[in-house]
Amino acid sequence: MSYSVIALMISLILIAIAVTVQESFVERFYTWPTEVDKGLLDTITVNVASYLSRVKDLEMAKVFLLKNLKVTERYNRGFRVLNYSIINMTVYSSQNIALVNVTIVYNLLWGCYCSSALLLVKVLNITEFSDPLTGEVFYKAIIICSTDRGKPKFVKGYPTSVTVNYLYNNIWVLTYPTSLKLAIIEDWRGIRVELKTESSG
Amino acid sequence: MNFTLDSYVATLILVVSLTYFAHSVLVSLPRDRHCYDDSLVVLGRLLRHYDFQIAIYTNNLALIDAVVYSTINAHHDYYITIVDTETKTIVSEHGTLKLSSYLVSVTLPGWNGALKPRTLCFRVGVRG
Repeated sequence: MSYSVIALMISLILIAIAVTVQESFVERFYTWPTEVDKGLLDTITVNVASYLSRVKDLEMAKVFLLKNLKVTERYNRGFRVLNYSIINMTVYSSQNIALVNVTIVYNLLWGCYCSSALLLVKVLNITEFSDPLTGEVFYKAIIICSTDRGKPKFVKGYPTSVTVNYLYNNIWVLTYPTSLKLAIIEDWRGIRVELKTESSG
Repeated sequence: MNFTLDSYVATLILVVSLTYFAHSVLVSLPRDRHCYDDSLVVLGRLLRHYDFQIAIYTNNLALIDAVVYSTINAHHDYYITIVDTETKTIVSEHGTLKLSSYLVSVTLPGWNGALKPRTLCFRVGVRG
């Protein structure tokens, strides 16, 4: 038997052992991806911002944040927040500007993640006009609506007499009766801001 | 000692096979491989666009379709089941039934300023 044939046989045995080792010794672990953590944390931050914009109480919002984290950790096995710090939790409303801002830095097993939810409404110009059919007097305000994700996908007004229409870029037109004391603007995520009107004093 | 062509060929074969053997054993030494489930990665990406949460909580199946197909590959399909986590009842099921096994699940805590957990069981796969 020549050397080559012997070497070929030895190499075949070695390859067979190598393939067996490769297949039998490897264990596959499915890891919880960071994308899911980020998605869940963004959801929590927006949910807290939405809650804060309704209750306007920082302490209640903090408790709500904690509840959200507990529920998420309880039902998602791979999700774990080691600690978090609230960078900003603001709710403000006046005649010219209204905003809700929640910014939280979460510390997770893979690192830190800063999640933010913002809705800012700023009045640029107000004019008065009357409906020729009903004689009712309205304010027409040109407003800027901005969010942490740029232009909001849509916004709606509350109560029903408040209408918001898109103009261009971040500019929207807000129309409401002069008798109204508070115009509520809600973005597509459910975050609300309250704009005090001229008649609110 | 005679160094013939045969011995050179034999040495070459042995060197190649030994290298392959050593490489295979060294690669397998850590004994584990970490990998991600594609469906879970896609679900995570979907959650970063708030339209998906709106669609889940308003049970808007057309919007779920639009949002999911805007993210996944054109040759892929999906299956989703939305479960009310507290009552353990299925709110809705949608997508290709063929993909209804080996689902990954993620639970959302709530939406629109309310604590209302919803579990999403999801799978993305090749169409057909």
